[in-house]
This record gives sequence, C-alpha cells and structure tokens, in this order.
Amino acid sequence: MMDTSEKKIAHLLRRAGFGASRDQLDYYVSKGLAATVTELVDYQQTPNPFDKPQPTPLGKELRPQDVRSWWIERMLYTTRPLEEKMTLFWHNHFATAVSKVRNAGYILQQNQLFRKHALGNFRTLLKQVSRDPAMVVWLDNNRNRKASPNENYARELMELFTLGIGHYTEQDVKQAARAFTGWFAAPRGDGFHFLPRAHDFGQKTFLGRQGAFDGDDIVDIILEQEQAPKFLARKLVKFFITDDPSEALITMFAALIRENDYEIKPVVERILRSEAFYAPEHRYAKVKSPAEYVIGSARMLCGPIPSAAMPAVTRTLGTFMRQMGQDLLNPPNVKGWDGGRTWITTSAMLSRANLAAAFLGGRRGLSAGRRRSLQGAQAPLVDVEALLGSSNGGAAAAPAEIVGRLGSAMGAMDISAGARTVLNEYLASSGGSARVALQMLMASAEFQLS
Amino acid sequence: MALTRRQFLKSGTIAVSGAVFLPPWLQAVAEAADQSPSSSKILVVVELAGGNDGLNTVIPYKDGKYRDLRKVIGIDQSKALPITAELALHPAMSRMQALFQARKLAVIEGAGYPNPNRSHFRSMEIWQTANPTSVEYYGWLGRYLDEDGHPRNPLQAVMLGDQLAQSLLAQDADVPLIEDIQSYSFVAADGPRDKALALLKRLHSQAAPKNSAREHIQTVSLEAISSSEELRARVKESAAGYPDTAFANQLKEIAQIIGGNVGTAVAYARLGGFDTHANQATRQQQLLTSLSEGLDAFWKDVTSRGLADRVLLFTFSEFGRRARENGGAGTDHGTAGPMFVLGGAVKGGQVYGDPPDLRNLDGNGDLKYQIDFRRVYSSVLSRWLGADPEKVLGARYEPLAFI
Repeated sequence: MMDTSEKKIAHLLRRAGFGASRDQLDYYVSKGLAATVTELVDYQQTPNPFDKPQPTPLGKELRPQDVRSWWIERMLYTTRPLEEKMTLFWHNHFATAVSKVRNAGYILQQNQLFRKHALGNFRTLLKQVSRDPAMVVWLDNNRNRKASPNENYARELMELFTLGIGHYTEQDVKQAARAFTGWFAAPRGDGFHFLPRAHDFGQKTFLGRQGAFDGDDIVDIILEQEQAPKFLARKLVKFFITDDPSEALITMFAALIRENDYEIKPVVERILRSEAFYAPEHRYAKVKSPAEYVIGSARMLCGPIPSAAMPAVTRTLGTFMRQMGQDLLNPPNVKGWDGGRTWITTSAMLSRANLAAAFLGGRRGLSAGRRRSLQGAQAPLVDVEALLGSSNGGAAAAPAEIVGRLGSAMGAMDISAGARTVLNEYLASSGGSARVALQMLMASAEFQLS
Repeated sequence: MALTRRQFLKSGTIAVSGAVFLPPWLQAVAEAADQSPSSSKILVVVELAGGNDGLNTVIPYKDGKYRDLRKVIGIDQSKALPITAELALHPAMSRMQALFQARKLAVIEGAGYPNPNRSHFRSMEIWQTANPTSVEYYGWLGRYLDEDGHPRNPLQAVMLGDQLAQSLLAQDADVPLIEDIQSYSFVAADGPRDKALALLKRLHSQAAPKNSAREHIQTVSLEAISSSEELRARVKESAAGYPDTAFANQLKEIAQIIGGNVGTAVAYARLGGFDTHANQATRQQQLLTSLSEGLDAFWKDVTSRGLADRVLLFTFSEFGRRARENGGAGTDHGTAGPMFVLGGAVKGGQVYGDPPDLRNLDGNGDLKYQIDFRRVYSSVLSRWLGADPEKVLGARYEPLAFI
C-alpha cells in the first residue's frame, strides 16, 4: 500500500491522541504533517471548547464515578488530544488508585496536576507529585514520621518513577524516606501539609551525596543520575513508538531529555517527528489500551451526544473500559497497567466486539445493568447512514464502497485484504448489514492496534 | 508438551488456521464430559470485602467480656444462633446454622497472619497473594493455575463480578471477568446473531503473520467466541430459588457454569460493604443475610445438580474488626477473623480453632490470630485440588483437618 501523508497523520493521531474522525482527519491533512505535530504539541495555542467546570474540588462527597465521567467527557471532546494522552501517560506512570486513596477530590486534583504538567518539566512534576495528597495517601507518606519512617514513597519514587530497580541501594531508600518525613496530606488548601515536628532535619547520605536533604533535594539528586533520563526515555519511547525499543533509540532520547533539563515538550515533539515513529514496522504494532479503544471509537463514530444522555454514556464507556481491563483511576497497583498484549483477554475481546452493539442500539443481549445504564441515551450513538454519506440515502451502495467508507470514517484504518474480502462477500449476501460490517471492523485485529 | 500461555505468546508456534472452531481444550472438555461422573474438584472462593466484623459473625455469646466490649452493638444472647457451647452465629445466619448442623459447613476461628496490617488495601493484597512480607503481583490462585492449570482452557477459572481479584492474576493463565453470563457473550449489532457470529469467526480465521500481534488477537478472539458459545450452550437454569441480590446472582451463575462441565476448577465471587465504622447493626444484618441465604441457595442448587461432592467453597475477609466497639455504633479495622468452609467433602459441624480470646488482645486491642490463613490455602491446595502447596505458597504450612 502506498504511504501517504494521510496515513502518517492517521498514525500520528492514533499515537498522540485517540485516533481521528473523518472530519478531524481532513482538517489535519489540510494542514500537513509538520504543522499537525506543531498544533498537537503547542496545544496551549488551541482553544479548548470543553469548558465544563470540574466537579467540586476536594469534596469528600464527590464520587470516583464523577471524576471518571468528567475525564471521559474531556477525552471525548478535547481539541487538544495530546494533552489528554499525556495525562493518561502520567496516570499510568504515577499509577494511583482511588480504591485505596478513598477520596475522589484528591484523585481529581492529581488528574489536574498531570494535565497541568502534561508536557511540562519532569523535575517540577516530580516535586509536585511528592506533595500530591492522593500520592501521599496512596504510598503511605502520611505515616512517614521521623520517629518511624515509612519507606513506601521513597522506594517507589526510585523503583517506578525515576530509576528502576538496581540503581540504588536499600540504604538509599532508608535515607530518602527520612527526607520525606512529615510530608503529609490534609483536606485543606492544596492538600499538602508539612509537619515540621514529624520531619527529620538531620544529615543524610544519599546516592553518594551528603547533606540535610529534604524531599526536593532527593528529587534533584535522583535526576542527576545517568540512569534517570534513560528511565524516562524508555517509558516515553514505549508509549509513543514501540513496546520493544532498541537501546539506540533510548540513548538518543535520553540525551535529549538531559539537554533540555527534563522539559518534556521538546522531547515528545522530537519523538513525533522522528523517522522511527513513522517506521512501517511500528505502525499497527501496539495494542490499543481500553481507554484508547473506547475513547477513540467514540470520537471517530459517535455523533453529538445530548447533554441529558452524557452521564449515562460516560458511565457506560467507563464500564466498558473496566471490563476490558482498565478501570480508569483504579490501576491494579503502583506499577500501573502492564499493557501491550496483556490487554488481549477473552472477556476483553468480547467486550470490544460488544461496544459496537452498544453504540448501534443493539442492546437486547447486553446485561441488565448495562441496559439500565444506557437508558439515558435514547437514540443509537452511531448513525451509520451518516457515516456512509447521505448521498447514498436508502439506496444500496456497492459492498466495497461501504467497507471503504467505514474504514475511512474509522480514522482511515488499514483493512487487510482478507478482511475486505470477507466483508464484501457478507455485504453482497442477502440481509448483509452495514451495522454488522461496522461491528466487524471494530472487532478486527487491525482496529485493536495503534 | 503443553505450552503455557506465556510460552505461547513468545513463540507463537500455534498457527491460526481456518479450522480452529473446536480448539483442543474444548475437545478435552468434551471428552471429559462424556466419562460420567466427572471427578474433578471445584473450588469456590467468596471474598467478604471491607473487613467483616468476625466477633458479631461467630459470636462468643456467653462471654461476659464480649458484653463489656460491645455494649451498643453486641448481639443479644437470646437472639444469637448457637453452633457450639461457646459460639453462636449472628441472628441473620439461620440458613448457615442449619448447614453447620447438617455437617456441611465448618468454621475456622482466628484466621490471620503475623504482624497484621490494618490497611484494607495492603491486608487484602496479603490475603490475595499469600505473602505478608513483601509486595507481590501475582495471586495465589494465579500461581496455582500457572503450576497445575490448563492454560488453553479460557474457562478453567472464572471471576464473577466487576473487578478481577488479585488472587487470580497469573503469569500464564487468563482468567475471564464475567459480570454475568449474558455479558460474557457476543452481542450482534444488527440482524440475526448467528450470522454475525459466523462472520466474526471467519474474520478472525484469516491468515496472519506468525507471532504477530494480529495473530494473537485473532487466536484469543476465537477462544473468546468458542468459550462463550460453549458456555451459552451448556448452561442450565437453576432450579433452586435464589434471593434477589447481586451476590446471590454471582453464586447462581457460578453454579450454572460449573454445572455446564466446561472444565472450570476455580470460581470466585465477592460480597462487598463490610467496612462498618458506623451504625454497623443494620448494615451487617443485611450483608450476613445476603451471605447466609446466598450460600444456602447455592448449596441446594449444587446438590440438585449432583455436584455436592465436587464443590468446596470458603469465605474470607481481609481482616476482622476491633474487639471494642467505637463511639459511632460501629467498629474499626482489626485483625484475625473467622472463615467458613462449605462442601460435601468438608468435615462440617465443627469449629477449627478456639473461641476468640478477648482477654488476650494485642497492643491495639485486636485479636491475636490463631491460624495462619496460609494453612487453609495449603489444605485446599493439597487435599482438595491435589496441588503441591509449597510450589504455590513458597513454604510448607501444616494443613487443617477440615477436608
């Protein structure tokens, strides 16, 4: 197949966003690839009409579901796809679960923190995360006192957030924990509460350095380590380019991270302009996460959702993601979701195939709970006739044209020759339904991949 | 040599051909079903999430110290349902009292572990991974499935509910999360279901490059179709009347799945809401009613299906609650608690372990554990599932005599 600018832009939007509808794709294609990358990374220049106020901040009465729905709606309608994609990246990097934090206000605040620094400075973000009340509760730093240090945050800061196992000693963990003593959470102000009498102001020896370090010093010392930019580069390259990156690729972007003193934006921009990013072997090679799959499908296919139906729709989309293995705001543990091929399970594949049925109004076979939650949405969420082009009206279009138009509406997806043949034959048979053809495309191997 | 899922993912040596409509696991299941009666054992785990107050579940009802500690929420001696001279069940548990008297139900007292953790999250993780000393990712049942399971049977273990229990996280095995049987099933977007399903099978039977992501997606999709269709075909409605609760529905569907003979060895259900810091009486009454009536209906159903001797069920909670009630007519996080074991092969009508010793509490005012829960797991693994507990639990634990 010929490589076109449209195919590259479609790939870019799958990886740096959630895939594009036909209209969105036309818009970006008219700008061209280079200008599209610029618009994606300089998203602060793009007005975001999503101005829905966030749910009551720091309210204990706020439910996790409210925050989840608010975020899902944001992802559905944002004009800054990379902003939300990076928020998702940080949510998995600093994986924090509301099931333990038990305070939806804290989780909302953390989600906003990730968005604010989505393409900001990693050093600043780390220092903010160390003070973030959801993180403080999640990794037990509110039990980290001078008299009885708790090592949980200090350990994960190095193991999972910055260096990886093997690049620090148990002694470093103990010393770092002392530096974070008294960094507590409290349900007032910005949620961070420093308690001097619980803090250990003494001398520490950490990664070969000595001083009366506090948490910020620990972050600075960690980021001086040669391993730190490599660790972050690996995460970013895996997220954007390939699950299985070469060391050369890591080294290249690690150097860039160091050059830019942990500014993320220039690094991500360089990734999105790199040759490796568009290499044929990296296209359709990453399994879409449930969030990418569900949000992407909805962005490509669903018409405008009436505001009265929005709570039911966002709740249902969240339920589908959970059944596919990604309960947003509730990662299974501090390592986050494993991702990659682990997303592909039998229950997830059924759920992925059934999302189309929920979109198209075929709710008979859905579980009672799912049906109930969809009652708010009166009409089917996807108007297949509109996707096929109004010019066809009720007239029977040629099977190949139907398949072509559906693929085009689904972010200009590649459809394998085999799948094309199967669908053409089906549509030519009596009772062949464009709705079912759409469902098959949504269930196809290609559409699970980014 | 059977490939594990992990090996399969890596090597990709199993090709997807157009004829995979009856996968090997299903052939094996079909053959096993023909040799009646099947003797394979089934374990059902019931998680009571939130920390069930064990002292008001299995009550030392004659102990004056219990009255002292529980002035507001203590259960009246006259209302408690006796099972031994010293212990009685909560008044909501008349069905479980009857099961105990019929010797189908046993109680294990004081189950816990050393250095108890009072965080829901961490303590649940400890029970799920069977590792109180370091954080682990894979669950104890997942490790069992990896050691002894049938990795190509997608229904070898099932979780009913909306979130997979960590116990079932495995390196190789893929345990489906089934919200209900109906939702573990293909739904056609339009027109006749059979036609759409046949199309989906054809779509996923197209040739794909060896060991590619596409090939893997297609293989798992075909497994999803065959296992869910097999389940639909084999499930038989339950005759026994179940109460109308989400928990009872989970148990009902477990009975239907194991009754369908699809090779399921482990099933897992969850009843949540036990975190009764305030106004415990009403809430626990509802929850224990749900538990007791649900287990009773399940037991009748399993018995009528002729599976009584093949099913063993046990309950656990991440911790019990503080011995002394708090100021809000509730109880705070505690430590050890009772477990229930139900089954035809269970040496029931007995309490394993001593009644809770309310005069010998730890520094927090919590019960000291008597029986390491890993002894229960070990008993189930060795005496019920026929597995080597040391491989799964990493150490030897003395089994208990309840099986």
